[in-house]
Amino acid sequence: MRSSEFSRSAQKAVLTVALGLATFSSAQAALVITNPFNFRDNTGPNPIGLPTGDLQQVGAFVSPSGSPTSVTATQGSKVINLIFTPKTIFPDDYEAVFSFDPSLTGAWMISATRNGETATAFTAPITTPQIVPLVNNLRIVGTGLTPTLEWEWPDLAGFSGTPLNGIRIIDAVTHDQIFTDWLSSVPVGNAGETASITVPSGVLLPGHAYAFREGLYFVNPDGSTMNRSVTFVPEIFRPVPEPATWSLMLLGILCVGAVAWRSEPQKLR
Amino acid sequence: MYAAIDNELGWSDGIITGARNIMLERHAVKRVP
Repeated sequence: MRSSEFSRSAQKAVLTVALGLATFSSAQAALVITNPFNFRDNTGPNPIGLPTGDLQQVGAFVSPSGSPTSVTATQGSKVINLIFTPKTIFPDDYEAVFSFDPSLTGAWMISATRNGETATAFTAPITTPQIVPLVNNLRIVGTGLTPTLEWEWPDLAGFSGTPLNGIRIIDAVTHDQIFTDWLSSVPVGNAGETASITVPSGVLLPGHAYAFREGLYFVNPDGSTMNRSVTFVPEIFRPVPEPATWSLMLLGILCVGAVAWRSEPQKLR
Repeated sequence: MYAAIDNELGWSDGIITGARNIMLERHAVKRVP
């Protein structure tokens, strides 16, 4: 084979592989809708200016997310644009939040489009709309990087669905949701009982500002949320390093100082 | 009295990571923002 023929063959091979990869990557980027949601959301007062009161949230996770993906929710003649609101723990979130509307409790059709490609999915309806109460006296115990959240349960008798609950930690500046965790027990019929959960290490950073919220969910048999309340700790939390962390930092400074001190005479020589 | 979800599995404490995961998988919980 002459070298020019070889070169042409090599170019063809490279082109074929590139086309194959392009096809493969476009197949990988198929538009996918997951976790369509539609729930009544009782949001308590909060220190970061989020809407409060008897709300409704409709949306889904759509991948690939971001421009040029656009997503709408349709119920009857009502069409809502869903806003891309990415969060660390939900990077593909498209959602709309509005005042609870008893005439819009049916299933929503979620429609996504991206570069001519389309995808659809349906939310569950809110078959039994109920206002889930907030938890009582939500508070932070501790000032360090692993504080404990405590609260007392409200009366939860008579609500439809399986009760679940979990905490969420939100960056108070960016409103990014950075952490979520769940508890396994929701006492029904034990109003006033205290519950608590401790934030694990590695989540909070010193000097940052955080909002904490406790969510109380009543979920449908398919795992989707039907009614929810979210209660916020009234104050923004700024963790301070614990004594052990201060000691470690002091030790580090001393070590650096010692090294500098030892190296000083060498400079003079 | 605890919800059926807890009686079913006999949990008394909510801080066991494994138990939380079982709960979420068992009920196919779809997390929401």
